[in-house]
Amino acid sequence: MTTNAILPTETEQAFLPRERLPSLLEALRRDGRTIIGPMVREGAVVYDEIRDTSDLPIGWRSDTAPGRYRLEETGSARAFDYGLGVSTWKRFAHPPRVPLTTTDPDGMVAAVEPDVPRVAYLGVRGCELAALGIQERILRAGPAGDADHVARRDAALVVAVECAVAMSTCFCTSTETGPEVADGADIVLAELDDGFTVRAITPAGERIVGQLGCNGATRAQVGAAAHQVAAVRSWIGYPLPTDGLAERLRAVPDHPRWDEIAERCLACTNCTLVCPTCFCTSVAVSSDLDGTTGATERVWDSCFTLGFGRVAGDANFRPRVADRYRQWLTHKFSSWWDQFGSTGCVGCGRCITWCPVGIDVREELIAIAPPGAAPAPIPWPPAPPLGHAPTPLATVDPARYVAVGVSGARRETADTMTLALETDDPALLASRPGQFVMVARPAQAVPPISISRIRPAGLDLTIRDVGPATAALAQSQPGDRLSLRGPLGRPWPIDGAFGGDIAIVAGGIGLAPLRPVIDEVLRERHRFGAVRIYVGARTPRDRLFVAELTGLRGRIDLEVEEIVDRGGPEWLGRVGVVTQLFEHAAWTGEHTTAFVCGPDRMMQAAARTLASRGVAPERTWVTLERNMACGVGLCGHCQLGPYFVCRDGPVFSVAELGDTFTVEGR
Amino acid sequence: MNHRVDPEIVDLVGRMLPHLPATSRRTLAAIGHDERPSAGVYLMRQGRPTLDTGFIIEGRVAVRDHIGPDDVTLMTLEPGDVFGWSAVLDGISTASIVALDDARVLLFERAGLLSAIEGDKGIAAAVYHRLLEAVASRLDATRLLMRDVYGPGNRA
Amino acid sequence: MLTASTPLQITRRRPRIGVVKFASCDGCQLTLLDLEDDLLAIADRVDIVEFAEATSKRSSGPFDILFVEGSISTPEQADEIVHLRAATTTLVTIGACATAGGIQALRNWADHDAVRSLVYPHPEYVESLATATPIADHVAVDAELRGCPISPDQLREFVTAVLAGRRANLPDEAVCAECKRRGVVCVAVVDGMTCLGPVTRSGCGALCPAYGRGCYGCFGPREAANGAGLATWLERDRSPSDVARAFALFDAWSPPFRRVIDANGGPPGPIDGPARREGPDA
Repeated sequence: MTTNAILPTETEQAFLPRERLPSLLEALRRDGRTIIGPMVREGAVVYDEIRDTSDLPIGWRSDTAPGRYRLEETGSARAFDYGLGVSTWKRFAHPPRVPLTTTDPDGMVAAVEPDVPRVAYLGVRGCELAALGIQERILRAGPAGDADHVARRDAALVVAVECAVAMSTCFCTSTETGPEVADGADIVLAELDDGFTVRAITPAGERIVGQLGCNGATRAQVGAAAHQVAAVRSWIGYPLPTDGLAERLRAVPDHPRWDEIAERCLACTNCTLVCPTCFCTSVAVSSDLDGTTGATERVWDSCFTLGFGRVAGDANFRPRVADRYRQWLTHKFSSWWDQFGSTGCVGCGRCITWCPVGIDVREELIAIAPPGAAPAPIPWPPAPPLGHAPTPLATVDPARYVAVGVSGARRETADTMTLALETDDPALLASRPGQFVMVARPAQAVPPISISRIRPAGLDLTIRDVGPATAALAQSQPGDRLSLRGPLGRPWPIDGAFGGDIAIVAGGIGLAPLRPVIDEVLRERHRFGAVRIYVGARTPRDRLFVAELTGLRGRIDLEVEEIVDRGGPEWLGRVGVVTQLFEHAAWTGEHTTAFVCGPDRMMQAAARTLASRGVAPERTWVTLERNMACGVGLCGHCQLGPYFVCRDGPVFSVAELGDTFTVEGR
Repeated sequence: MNHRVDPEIVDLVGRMLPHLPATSRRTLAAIGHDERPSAGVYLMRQGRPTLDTGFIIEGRVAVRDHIGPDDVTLMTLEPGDVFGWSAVLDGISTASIVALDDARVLLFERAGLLSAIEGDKGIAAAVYHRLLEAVASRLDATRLLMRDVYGPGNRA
Repeated sequence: MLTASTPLQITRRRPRIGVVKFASCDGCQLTLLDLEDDLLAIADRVDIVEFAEATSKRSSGPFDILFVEGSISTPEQADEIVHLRAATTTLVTIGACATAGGIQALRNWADHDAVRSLVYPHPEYVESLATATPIADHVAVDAELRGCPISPDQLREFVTAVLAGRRANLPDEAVCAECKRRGVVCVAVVDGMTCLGPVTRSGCGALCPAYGRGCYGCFGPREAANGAGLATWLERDRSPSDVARAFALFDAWSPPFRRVIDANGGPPGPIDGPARREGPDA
């Protein structure tokens, strides 16, 4: 974001007298647009459909403070001196509820095509424009972008209005996102007592402005407009020192203030839902009574809810409110920079105003990461490139569901099934070890499932029954059909291990995403030195792929060791945790690449033990589990430091993860 | 006395306690016993005095807890592992140790080990370091198991 | 929360469903009848074997799903719920009384005998417990539908999810999330109203704030409900008894709300002191 106002010159600006403001609305409407703008409702300024200039909040201004908002009448004829609306433009660009999938006549899951209105946003502020730009960059990214958001932004014309007043909660000067209007608008207005200076920025904006029949703005009018916004800048001052803030904040995950805030914070989600850059969503499932047809809908969610951090089997990554507050604040002001290259906060102050207990992020940031006490910056390791493997990944339309047939269902353990799926879909057949698919059935939630075997004509999925959705999947029978989206995620970098040794460490169901690695290593056995496979399970009855492992143990070119947490009289093998299998082993790890998958704690322990054997953290690869809802980096659920686990992972090296791998509650 | 120290035991002591100064190896080796228990032999009984601290040279042993009709194997130990850490504390075994294979272990009697620790800082540091490592790794294993017991399911 | 495996077991045949009540106003049962069109479709797929408000049939179970309304206020009720639990696979409490004790749990702060003499001319004929307590204080509860009364939408979603064998979409989030999704302007911040929305579980669709009223908290505390945090904020310009009064409603006896009430001098109002009725019966 640039803070430089576009320097106004007399020649490029028009002047729209106040009484002719309706002509702007008419021109927008002639362009086939519904106009969204500010209006007074329920004692506040909100953004909604404007039919007439009299809908605008003429003569109103907002007085804000932490946890407090009051409208005041000014008696002025101005329409845009209200400050900021309660609602944000994301209500229209990234709405609270958007249909995602439906059930097609064949009973399969199908994506819903976006259906969006042609609109004009009237009265967008500098900070709000910055926020729209930030959201757009995030939601247009990913393997394909968010179809609904892209359609909405493409269908919206933006008329920005520069600020002539500020509120006590404003701090856009600190985040360098205002008050001047920067890039992203089609038309920029500045309101003076007798009318508006008008600047057309884009061809679409020029077409509208050309219909207004305005005269050029005088130098005095342009100067008055520039003076107004300069006065706002100086009135706001520099309330939050942001120099080095990202690094300062990143250095204090253990600050006692996180716990202290949690005593005040209600985790009510207001700050995130009024935030113009917060983009996180969840998927809500609905169905008919028979469970044969269903639909999913994308719903605004927040990292402050317990459900947001929940994963399979009701485990939760952020059980404590302190974890959730830290997640929010550090993402906004620190890891957002690492992840998206911009601030995550535009200084609009809505989170301060609309916090029902008046928590002021400016105050909290200064207390937690005071300026001047800047520690040496801890850089994140460089973000891994998508598709680390030289083998190019198939291009996948992440919104497209493919119907695949179930050709086999084999029970592995009491709660785990392996489904053999047949497909001729080239993208699915080009899946790489470590990738996953989203598996949908009408009327069920859509869980991410890692691929446990890649065959010439299909895939295996190994599913552990940990909830209704996986239970329903695990009951699939040959002949059933499932809807798959994928393959998704970054695969294990197997080719990075060519010429060296391999250690595969699996805990429980964690063996499933490692099985394609074993398959591939065996296919190209000559490319690797020693290959060691260490497998842990809870009990002998919980061991997966028993016959296959037994077969592998017979090979002289592999070392295969198994261990169980709890043995029993019939178990003659090893008992303990999987790290014991290589804790005292004779090998050293200088030339070893390790692939590890299991519960988080097990992977941490494995990484520690591997490090003590000399395996470099850059060569220790783990696959993380997070609450993945979209699978393509758009819903925010699996955000972790500079990454989205679904898109940038789920496979990461321990070096890439840094302390996010070990700090609890991340 | 030095002439009676078996060089093979000195070598084993060096392998089992890499942090031990070379000068102290012989002192410790002098009180070490190279034993070869066959499969099924109990090296230690739960609830009984811990007579030795042992290092596994070959084979596997099981750590067993007497729960219910059968002893439950809490953990199996491998060459390089140590058992009998309670010998340097109150001297009561918290679990039984039984050889699963025909094994080879290096044993140190409690009294001798304690007096060696008393008399040689190098021995004390190396032995305690190794025992602490072992206890830490058992704790870690226990913690992982507790996660299983108390935590919800791990992966889908 | 609904457990993972129960709905699937149930869908293999027509589930036997019961609706019973203890100390309550029947309002939540009426919500079931309010499902109207859906009710017929549901009735096609289940056997309703016990429903006091809709039929005179009596059944002692077994029940695949038993909806329980009301709190436990008498010794007989305390016995009966134990028997019902034994005959039930999935026990679902419906409404604030069953889930948190209800408005009648305000008596839990008062002198029981004094209240009885206040209400009944012949208290000696009335068998009642000193407290009105939620079902979960007596037996294990598998799922909860909150509210006073419960939301027809949530009830429909729960039944649909059970029949479809999926997890019901009953998010444990604050009412605020529904206000913000609907675009309701925050009555606490704009008007300074007392609103329990931030500590109350969603599910009502932000009904009261949408009509310009603060949330009364009838859905009860949500996960991590920080009653003390909200109370601290309210206490800046409210008396302790005003703060206690805000929390001393349908879910007063739920631990997060109860703690606020106790910290602010107990529930205010007539129940404060055991006044005795004047007259010949006194």
